[in-house]
Amino acid sequence: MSEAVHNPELSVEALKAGDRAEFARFVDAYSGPIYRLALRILGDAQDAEDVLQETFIKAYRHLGEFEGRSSFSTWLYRIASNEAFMLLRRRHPEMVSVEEGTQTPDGEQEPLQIVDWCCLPEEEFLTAESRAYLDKAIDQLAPALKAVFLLRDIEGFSVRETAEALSLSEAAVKTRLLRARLQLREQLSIYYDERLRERGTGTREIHANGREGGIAREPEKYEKEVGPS
Amino acid sequence: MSDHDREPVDHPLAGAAQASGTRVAIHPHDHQSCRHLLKSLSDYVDGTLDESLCVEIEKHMGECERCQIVIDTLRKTVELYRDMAPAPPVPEDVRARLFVRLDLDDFLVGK
Repeated sequence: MSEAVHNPELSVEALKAGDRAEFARFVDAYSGPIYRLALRILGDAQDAEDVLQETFIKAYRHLGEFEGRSSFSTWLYRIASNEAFMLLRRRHPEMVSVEEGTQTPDGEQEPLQIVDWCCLPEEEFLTAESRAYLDKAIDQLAPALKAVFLLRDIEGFSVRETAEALSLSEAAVKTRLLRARLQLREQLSIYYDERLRERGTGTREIHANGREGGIAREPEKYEKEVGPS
Repeated sequence: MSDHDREPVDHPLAGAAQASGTRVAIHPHDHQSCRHLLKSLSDYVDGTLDESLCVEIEKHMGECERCQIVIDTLRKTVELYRDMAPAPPVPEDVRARLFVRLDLDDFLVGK
């Protein structure tokens, strides 16, 4: 679980009372995930650093307003995500759409990559290349989806915490999370399909897209193997 | 004629197959289930879906290998990201500038 959501040692009372040592501990506890979130959303180290600094300056100024309705960490993340998206709007106004990721799930992109790559040996998922690919795939997501995915699946927030941290409804979080996960599944399927081919162990492959090099099965063969008995 | 002998049809969870003209055979079943299922997938892999819907999905997966593959690989996708090694902490120089900016430089030593 995330160090941010579950950090029982910090005292909100001490922070509110102006305890500087406690504030320094607070900064160290949260600066990692806040910086990573900003870096992911903005894709620029200097911008991420600016967001990091602004977040803690605002948190310090507004500590007195924290009422404990949400957890302290989601309150801090709300400040950070506001800062990050504000800066993103300034830097790349074309990238931030209010509507992005909010369409109904009925409008969901249907899965295109239908290859079962779960059977790959575990070491295949542990290579540096594989990890780098996973990392790169996140950056392909639209910022609105990325923020939800990072908090929920990387930092380990619950749906409710993610909603509070991003000032979204839980329904919007779920919609965006689904969309992000489906998009990442597509990306990973393309990558691991290649690994399957390299190994020549393409069991249970069903190539729906008929792209070059694909080994689309004959319909009758497919029927024979997976048709209901 | 049994159900098994029906003509194969395109599957709604295989948009590219239709786009590229490659027809993928699949036994006919309630395609509404596949679409309906798609929007419940996140909750399903998180284990937060209503039990009645889980039963519906599991029954459907038994009949639809495509959906089975989509769900298995979606679950694996989420697992891979959850197991990803935590990103490195804030670089030391970024931390130092942050502490200075916050007038906390006297706490810079020792993390």
